[in-house]
Amino acid sequence: MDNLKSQEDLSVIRNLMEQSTKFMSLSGLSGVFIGIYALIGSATALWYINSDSFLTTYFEKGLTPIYITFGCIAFGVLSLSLITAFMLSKRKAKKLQVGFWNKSAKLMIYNLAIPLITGGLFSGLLIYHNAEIFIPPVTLIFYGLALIQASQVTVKEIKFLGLLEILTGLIAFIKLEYDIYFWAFGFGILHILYGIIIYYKYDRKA
Amino acid sequence: MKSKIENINKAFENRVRLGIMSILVVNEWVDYKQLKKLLDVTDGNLASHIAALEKKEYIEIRKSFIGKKPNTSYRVSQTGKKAFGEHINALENLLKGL
Repeated sequence: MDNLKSQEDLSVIRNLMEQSTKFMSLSGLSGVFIGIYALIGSATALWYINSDSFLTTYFEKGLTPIYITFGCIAFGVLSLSLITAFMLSKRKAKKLQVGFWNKSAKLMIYNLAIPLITGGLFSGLLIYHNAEIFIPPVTLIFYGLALIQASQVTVKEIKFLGLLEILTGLIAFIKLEYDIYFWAFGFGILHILYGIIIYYKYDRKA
Repeated sequence: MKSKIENINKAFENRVRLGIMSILVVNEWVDYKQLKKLLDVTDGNLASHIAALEKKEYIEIRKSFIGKKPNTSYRVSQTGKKAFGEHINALENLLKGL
């Protein structure tokens, strides 16, 4: 039993413990795609607000059709993001030769779900109380909390991304008139940057 | 020096056995397929090391069915957890001793 072997043994132990409990199939590329969807989504929303038809619709039919349009944009971005994340993670899991739907994946979803669903319901309540203006900062903050929670079961870099999302959300709360821009920064730019970092750090080796 | 290597457990000297124990101590029940994927070993190799660990009563075995397919899962026993902990401490002491 020499020292080199003990050292190697310890690193084998550490790696296997991490691999068997952490969700390592998170794909950096999906971060980049999600960021692009978010940028397209917010650009569409901004374009809609500044378009002529926005005011005509508002004066003729009130707020309901406007909510429906924003709801559709948000739903489109969210579903595209989820589908992309799911497919790319599945592909990476296959590359890493680990099962996709394993305990760590379930743990990851469980960790993300509680803060995200709370944030979603909270946003719904903001609409109910006619306080839609707070939705961008609130979604940023809840998403940041979800990432910090999930960072315990996946790549640790996610934690710092979570902190940045919360910070962006809080600043957006101060500067409410620019909150769509902060939202685009948090969900768009930050995702793309982090996606690239994770891609270079984890994906290329796989 | 002898006292330091006293606790090095012969049962864990093999990498596959060490690997099986590492996975099981941080998870609850792990099935055979997952173990094989994580360790990247052949069926015969894995089966023989599982049998050795089972004989020492370091791991517990549960056989069940998923649909019609038989599914075997493993988990670490109290004895196994204790032995593995002592083994890791011994490894660390050995390294500190240098």
